[in-house]
Amino acid sequence: MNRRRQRRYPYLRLWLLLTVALALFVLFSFAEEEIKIGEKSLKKAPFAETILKSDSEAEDSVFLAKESKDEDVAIVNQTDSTAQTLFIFGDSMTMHLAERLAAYARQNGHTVYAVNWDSSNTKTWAECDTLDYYMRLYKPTQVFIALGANELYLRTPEIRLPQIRAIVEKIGDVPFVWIGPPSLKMDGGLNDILEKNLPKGSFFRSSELQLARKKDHIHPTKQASAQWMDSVMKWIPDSRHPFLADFPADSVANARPNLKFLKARNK
Amino acid sequence: MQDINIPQALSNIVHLLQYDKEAPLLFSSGLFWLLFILFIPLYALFKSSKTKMVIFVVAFSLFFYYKSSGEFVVMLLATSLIDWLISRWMIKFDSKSERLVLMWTSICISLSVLAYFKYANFFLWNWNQMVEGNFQPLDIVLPVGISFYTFQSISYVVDVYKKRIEPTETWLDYLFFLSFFPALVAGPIVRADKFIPQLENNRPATLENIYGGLWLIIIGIVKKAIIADYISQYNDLIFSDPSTYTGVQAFMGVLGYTMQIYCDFSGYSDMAIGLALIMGFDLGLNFDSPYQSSNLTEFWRRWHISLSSWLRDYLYIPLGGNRKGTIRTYVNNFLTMLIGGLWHGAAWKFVFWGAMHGVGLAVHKACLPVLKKIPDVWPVKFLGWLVTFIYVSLLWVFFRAADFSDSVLIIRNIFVDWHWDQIPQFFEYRMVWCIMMLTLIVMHFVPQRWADKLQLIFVKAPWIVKLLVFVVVVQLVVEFMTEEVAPFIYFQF
Repeated sequence: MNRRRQRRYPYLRLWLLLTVALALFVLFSFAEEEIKIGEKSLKKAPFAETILKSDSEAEDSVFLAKESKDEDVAIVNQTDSTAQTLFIFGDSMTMHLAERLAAYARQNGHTVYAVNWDSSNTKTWAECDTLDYYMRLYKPTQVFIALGANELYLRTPEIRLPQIRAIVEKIGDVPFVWIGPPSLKMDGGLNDILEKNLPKGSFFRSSELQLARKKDHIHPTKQASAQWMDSVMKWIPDSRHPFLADFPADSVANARPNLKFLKARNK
Repeated sequence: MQDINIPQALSNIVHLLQYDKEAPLLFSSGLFWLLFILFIPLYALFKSSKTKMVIFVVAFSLFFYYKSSGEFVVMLLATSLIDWLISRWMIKFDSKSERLVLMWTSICISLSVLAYFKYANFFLWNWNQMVEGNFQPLDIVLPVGISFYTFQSISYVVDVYKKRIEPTETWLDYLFFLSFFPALVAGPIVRADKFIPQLENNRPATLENIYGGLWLIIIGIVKKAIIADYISQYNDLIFSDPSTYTGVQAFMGVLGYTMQIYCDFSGYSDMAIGLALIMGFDLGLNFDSPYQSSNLTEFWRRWHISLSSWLRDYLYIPLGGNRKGTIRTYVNNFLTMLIGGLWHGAAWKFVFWGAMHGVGLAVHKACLPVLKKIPDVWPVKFLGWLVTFIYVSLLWVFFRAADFSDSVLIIRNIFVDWHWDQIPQFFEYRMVWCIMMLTLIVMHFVPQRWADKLQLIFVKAPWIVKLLVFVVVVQLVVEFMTEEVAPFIYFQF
């Protein structure tokens, strides 16, 4: 009987199968509850995201865009002439940038701390308490972030917005400059995402700089990194927090930063 | 549960249904899934009446094409109308010469449209290179699927000319054939002599067809949306910046791309064939475990069968095939593959890829008398398989890399920058990628009878088991679609 009905309405069961399955995925995507298998939470199909698109997009940019508008007013052109505690952190690009920053610090009476975490990315820094620890330890008055090179390949870089937001939250009220990653062949648009979402005057776009590279064709050479940092410091008067950033004399060119190295988590 | 802003949600759904060149309607997308759920009951309702079914499927196919190609849907309609009118006109003539003129008129129109959209910039660029001009590319958007439906249209007109088939009675029937949505944008290249009789018969789909089709869709999703899309991320890194990767990494990238292109293409084909089967149409086999081939001739009998058989029937044989002596056979083979290469894309790298396959086929044919004398034992078979696999894989490098120098660099790195100690490191750090590759290799080399048996088990399985399998596969797609393969953090940064 059942078989006969199946033959009469051959598509009925297929239709039911596809409909039930779709309903399950749609409901799960709208639900706020998680389903866990062991330690792992099941990911949700992006139905809710797609259907409620503009709301969720707006929500995503609330934090950074709102802040950007509010703080546009706060941008002052007056240079802060007090001695700064500079803190630069990020991936393996950080080391040479920090070395040059140390020369600026020596020239202008600032102190510089640096944390170079090999292979790190926004996810690494957002999801652990390393940044909180160093922020508490160094109590910086100006932060530099050198992150993004390990994520330039992302085809949908907007998925890193929560991590970018988390990093900015960890830095709190301290003025910061996000030094964008230099140009690489694979740029899925992370620079654009950073530029669009960070408060005005907090993002330095590095991707247009021509930088000589090491043998790996990725890392800028020491000299190119110094030129890179020079470009950043030249731009500081236009940033949210202008501070003394006079070009270092040759006599201080070899100043060393207080540099910490963290090994790649997966090595 | 999240709050739903109904007007906003409706506006987003309407937006989803509009043409978006960045978001063609893929079989593995949620939107297609939803549309297919709406399609099925209406299709079932109209199936008993051929005319109603044809009108409904044509309307759906045209919407499907509009979603991917926008206003080019008008061009598809125009092409089909011209072909159909010419073919109807053709049968009124008994004289071969008049029929020939009509056939060539139709072919020239089809090829001119294809040449303009696909090859105009390529030819202009080459012309400017010769005359050292200041080349500005034309602003041409390539209509999706044009290479596929142009070949279908040519084969239809040629078959009518050769009286292999009768032209369809109505334009609608021909439009159904040309715009049949499962095969419209990425093949297989449907042949009128196989397809139109099925349309005429309009047999209802059996349960075996329906669930066999669903099984093929599931297999296609696994290949395309899980495996190919995941492994492609690593391969893309290698091909986008080959100078930064060592021999081991490049080798894995080449191996990865060899499997990716198979998964990508055959996965999409499986979904297309599965969808057609659900509707009661058999599009035949398009990929038959091609990497099991022990020589290049066999490879082309198993790889993209609908294209290679089209090239054989409408190019190689009309050129003279193997009927005009040994040298002409080699030349015909070579020319066929050269044009086959150009069909894949308007660039010299595709021409080179096609030409090298042509050379390979000619060499294999030339060596056949010697090869036939060698006993057909397993070490010989294995050697044949290995040589074929390496040759095909190396040619994929030229097919995928941005230019010739990148291809050479990748191959060079494999031979001169090889570090054995990186192999365990690679397996350790790219575990998921390696598991995917292994799964794929196992899937590919599973004997056909096992695959058939598995399909039969699925077809006969209770409904709830089928639902469970489907849900698990879709969840796997969701799990992997946001998984990113990091590029250089393990070896470089």
